[in-house]
Amino acid sequence: MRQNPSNRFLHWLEIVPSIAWILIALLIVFCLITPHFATLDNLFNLIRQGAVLTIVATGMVVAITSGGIDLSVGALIGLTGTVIGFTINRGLSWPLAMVVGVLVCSLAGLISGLIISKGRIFPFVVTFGMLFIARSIGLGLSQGGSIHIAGQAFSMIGSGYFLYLPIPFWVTLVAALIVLFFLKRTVFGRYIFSIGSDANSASWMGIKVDLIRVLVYVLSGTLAGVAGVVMASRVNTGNALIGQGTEFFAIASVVIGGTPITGGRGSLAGAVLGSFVITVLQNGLTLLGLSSQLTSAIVGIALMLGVIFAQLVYRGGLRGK
Amino acid sequence: MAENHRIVDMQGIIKNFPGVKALDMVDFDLSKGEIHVLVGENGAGKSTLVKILAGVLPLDHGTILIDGTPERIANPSRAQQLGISIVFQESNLSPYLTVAQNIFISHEPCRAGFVVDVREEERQAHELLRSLSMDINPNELVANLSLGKQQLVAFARALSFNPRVIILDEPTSSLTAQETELMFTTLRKLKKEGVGIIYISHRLEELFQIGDRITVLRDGKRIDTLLTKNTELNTIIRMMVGRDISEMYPKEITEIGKEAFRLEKVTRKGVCKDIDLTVRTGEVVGLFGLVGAGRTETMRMAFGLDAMESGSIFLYGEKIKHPSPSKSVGLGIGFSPEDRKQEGLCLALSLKENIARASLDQLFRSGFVSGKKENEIAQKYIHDLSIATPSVDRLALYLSGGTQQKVVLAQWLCAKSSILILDEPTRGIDVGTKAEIYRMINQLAQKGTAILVISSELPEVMGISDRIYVMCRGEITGMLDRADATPEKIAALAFGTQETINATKS
Repeated sequence: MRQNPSNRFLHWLEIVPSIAWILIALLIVFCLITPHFATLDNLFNLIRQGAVLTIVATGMVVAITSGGIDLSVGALIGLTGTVIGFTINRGLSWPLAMVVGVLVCSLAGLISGLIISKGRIFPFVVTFGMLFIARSIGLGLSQGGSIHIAGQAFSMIGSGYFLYLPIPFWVTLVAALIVLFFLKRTVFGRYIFSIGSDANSASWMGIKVDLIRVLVYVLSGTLAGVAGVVMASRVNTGNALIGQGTEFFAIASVVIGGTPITGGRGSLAGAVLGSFVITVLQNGLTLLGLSSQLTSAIVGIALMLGVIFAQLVYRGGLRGK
Repeated sequence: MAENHRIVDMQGIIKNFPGVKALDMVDFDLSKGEIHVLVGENGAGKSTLVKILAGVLPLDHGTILIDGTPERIANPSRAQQLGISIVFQESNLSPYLTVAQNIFISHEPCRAGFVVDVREEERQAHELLRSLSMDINPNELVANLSLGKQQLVAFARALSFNPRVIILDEPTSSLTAQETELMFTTLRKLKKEGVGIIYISHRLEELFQIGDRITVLRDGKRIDTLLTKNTELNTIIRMMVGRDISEMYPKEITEIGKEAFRLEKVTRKGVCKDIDLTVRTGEVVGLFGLVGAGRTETMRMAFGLDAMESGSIFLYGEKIKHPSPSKSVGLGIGFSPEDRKQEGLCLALSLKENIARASLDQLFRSGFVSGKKENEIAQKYIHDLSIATPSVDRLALYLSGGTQQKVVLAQWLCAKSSILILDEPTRGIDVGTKAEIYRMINQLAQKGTAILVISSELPEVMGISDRIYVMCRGEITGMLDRADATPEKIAALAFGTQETINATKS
């Protein structure tokens, strides 16, 4: 059976996440049909564009694995920038302002997490509410518009280089590695899987379900804050509306990366690759001269195809055994 | 003297659920090195009692002494600290974590308090599984294991705490005979080491194999505690049910008519091969086989749930073209699945909605559902099948297993099914309700319904069937008439003895 070439092919399809094949196919297609795609400039551009989504997606995969979801992350990205702008303009040094910006998002996550676990309210509803709260605070701080962030140093995070690579790359890498470690090597990571498959049983096993839930949303919020720092630094502006919709692209990244929306299982690598697919699609299609509306539709189609493809491979693999 | 060895002493335990007194002044104790069996019908309070001891449920009144000291077991962690370990009835492992990760979840070998020492965890899991003679790879995902293996992993997890008290709630319900024996061997060893074991089971024959004492619960009250060696099975059944069951299987011979439902050469690769099977009107046909023999899969194809590769299904001699569930229901075939919670009922719907669910087209031809009519129909079946429920609006979720099974039956009676396929209709159901369901099967057969019962219980299949088909590894290995059927013959066919294997090969 194993020698059968079609089976071996299926076997390969199975062990390499389907999303990786989609990414490879996309890269090949864009290299062939878009002259400016395969340039170093564009690669760095891709990294800067994609960093925000990838960082948020690493938080989203944790929330979804735990059986929840975090819809507030897009609004938190905007909030971070306005908090940084607001505090710098009032004389705070930029590193401190950055920390405050991230901590505000951690606090938002903490509040969401507490309401979810203590109030026994669906994460969907709570984080949806937090989305509006965060956005309106952001709009309040920026007086309804955007705040220019003064100073060269802060913008270095978005536009600078470290070891020949854009700083957002390093930020993303560190964030992803921390989440990977958190999920795979710490007890909290284990508990997140356990809670996601059945919160009741998890509590019967002696797991402190409430505490873990709170941690999940603190983590997700904090990562949204980090993404917000990268975003604000890239555009040198605090704008409450800037991250709008990122939550949905993050959910899409997680889902096409092979993580079921129902919880209990999750692939961080899949989510990261998923965010790459979306970033590459957006970038490549824009380079091709497609309008942003059309780009969105194509991303939507890719989301569905990605999930269908993953399902086919899964079923095919089962039959192959 | 015995007092000194008492590890657990529960006194006057009272637990109320909304509308039900789940436990009413129950006393229960466990000594060192003892296997104490808890029996009772569904809803008698067995699981509630052990969940209180395991810190999962809070108690309303009563005292728990552990080694003679009063303890408040507020949460599962506290129970674990006290050396009390539990294997729950429902598997509560995380399917997408590995065996090793599941065994050690909530007490992982750690560095710095929260970083899991993965290698140490794997080593310990490997050692533990080997010491229990369990042939399970610690790095396998739990989702890839059979239900039986999963249950063994849950058992291994309970032992990984090195507990002084182990609670097993229906541990053998999905174990094979070998796996059960393996578990019993371990339990006997633990007993010798002085561990106290609380054992809940519906399989009464098991009690006599391993139990030292038996406590019978009924309707939340403790009826009696007996020494196993001085007790007879009938006594226990009488205590559980509260009345005599003169005969568990009140088979009535009915007049058997013409062919109603027939499978011809039904085949699907890797599932079943050339299945020929006939059920006649007024006949109860048993389909026996070991777990994994392909019985459920075959009947799912016959009902149209899964596609078959070749073969035909005939209804009253007429071939059903392209069988599908909706066509089958329309033609009067009913299917009661093995997993009634997942497949047989909508748990979030009320009792009356569940009953009418398969016959909405017939009942409400206008397309509008009438609540009044639904109520009347539900009342009729509540009366006919003596369904125990406070109201027709009770959600199926809150009904006991036996009542749920009756609702599934009512669903198909309401759809006027003339052919019923019942997959393990009495799994996890208490003795009293079992007998009631057998009586209903008899009554239906008398009215001319053709009934096929898939069962893994030998006494059941012999007790209720007019004819018995036996399946083994996807094939029918034999058919026996009621008069010819003996446990030995059926078992030989089910295990596929040498002759039958040779016969199929040639």
